[in-house]
Amino acid sequence: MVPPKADYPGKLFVVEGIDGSGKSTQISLLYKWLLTQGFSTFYSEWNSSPLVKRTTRRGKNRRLLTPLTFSLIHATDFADRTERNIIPPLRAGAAVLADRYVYTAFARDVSRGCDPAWTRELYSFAVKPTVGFYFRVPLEVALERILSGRPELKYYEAGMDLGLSDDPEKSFALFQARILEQYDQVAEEFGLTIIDGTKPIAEQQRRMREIVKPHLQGLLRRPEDGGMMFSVAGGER
Amino acid sequence: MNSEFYWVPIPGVQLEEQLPGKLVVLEGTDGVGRSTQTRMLRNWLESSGLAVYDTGLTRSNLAGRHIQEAKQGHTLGRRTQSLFYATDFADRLEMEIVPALRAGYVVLTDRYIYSLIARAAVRGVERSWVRRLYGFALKPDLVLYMEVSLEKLLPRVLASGGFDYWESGMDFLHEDDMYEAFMKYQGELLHEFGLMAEEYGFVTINADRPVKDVFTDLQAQVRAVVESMVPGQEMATEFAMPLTEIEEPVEEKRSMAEMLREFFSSLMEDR
Repeated sequence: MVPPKADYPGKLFVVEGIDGSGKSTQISLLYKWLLTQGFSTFYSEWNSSPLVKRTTRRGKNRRLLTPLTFSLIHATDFADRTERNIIPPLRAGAAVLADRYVYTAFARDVSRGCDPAWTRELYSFAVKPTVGFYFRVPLEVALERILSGRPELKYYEAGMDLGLSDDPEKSFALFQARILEQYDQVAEEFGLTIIDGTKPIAEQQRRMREIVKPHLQGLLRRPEDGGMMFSVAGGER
Repeated sequence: MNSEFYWVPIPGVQLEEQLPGKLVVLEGTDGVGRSTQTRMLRNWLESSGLAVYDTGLTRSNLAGRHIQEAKQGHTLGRRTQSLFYATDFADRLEMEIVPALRAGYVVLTDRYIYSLIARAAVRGVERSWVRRLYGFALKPDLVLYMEVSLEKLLPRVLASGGFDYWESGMDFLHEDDMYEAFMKYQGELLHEFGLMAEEYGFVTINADRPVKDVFTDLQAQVRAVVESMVPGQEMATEFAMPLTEIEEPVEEKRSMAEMLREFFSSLMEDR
């Protein structure tokens, strides 16, 4: 990964973790906090570039994706977001938040059978985050959160393409277990900041803010009149 | 053919060590006559009783159409573009090329990873990164590089309707003069192909000559690779212009129009 260039005065904070780890809840709380603190904040979601979205959707709906093309189409999306949504606000001095980052690919693509070294090379152009949070939860906790609340699992989400099981829930559980194992390795390899995702939400958020705070000095501020940046910051949300 | 990859195997695919088909690649810059030669080779191979599967770039079921659309109506950064092409190539490799090789076809492909690598490199994407990106590509049995000199390319380009903005690299070169841009872009592409020739073991064919002479050389190379597929059988030797030749100008015009649209959208791309 590329360290942020000297002319990127902005800061990049990313959250990672398996489905049901609570990372999205935490980053949206962080997002709101940064806005109320008056910082110009951009939010970038995994798999959100409008350009590549259609191909991805087509591939998923028709189940055309293999582990290789699944990996490549997400890398394409990521490149587009890097060129469009991540680097420009970083150069402008904003806080950039990303729900999932390259580590998702390292965990998920490798779980699908992609070569770890190839996958890392694929994303070597990514900007290194200021802080990468990893929300760690035991598999059972994550599964309980997901499976109790959401009855229907999507084909690729459940890892059905890997043929682990014909039963979506079983397949999902097996797939998540693989991903979790990869995540743990990735967290160590890249020095991610581990947050215990089983702690109360407020406590996790307090910890995140504590870690983020020292990096905020000198970041771009929102206009004094409080000009609503939501539409810009929120992008495609 | 041996199922061997440049760097990493295709994930999740168990390939036999030996595939019954053969993979033959035709490479070279635009206007070098690849598509004409591909058709002639196909005719010849089929008349010798071999099943041929021919394929080209950006034709995949997954992303091909969206790449064309993306070039027309949206903007793609350079790295995004490279990755989009790689996705398309991967789809073609897995869904078309590998199955055809397994089924014992001679797969004739009009361009392979090398054109994609050259295009990306000329546009400033790191050479080593693109090479590793395509590390999942199968090593072909034969890569025929149709080499042409810039001087010989010029009259062909003029004959086919003049300079094309896209083929002149106008999307990134910032030259006022299209002639200059064309010479520069094609010159740089030729340079990139030159760098790859040894690295990837290209068989270089001098394409500055008449179609028939080029064909004779290509035929000799392909024959050496496919002969074992028709044991004890004489392969056809005659030279015949392909029957589909007439359709070519129509196709060319359409793609010219497409390329023009690509250019206009690419104008918006560079900031």
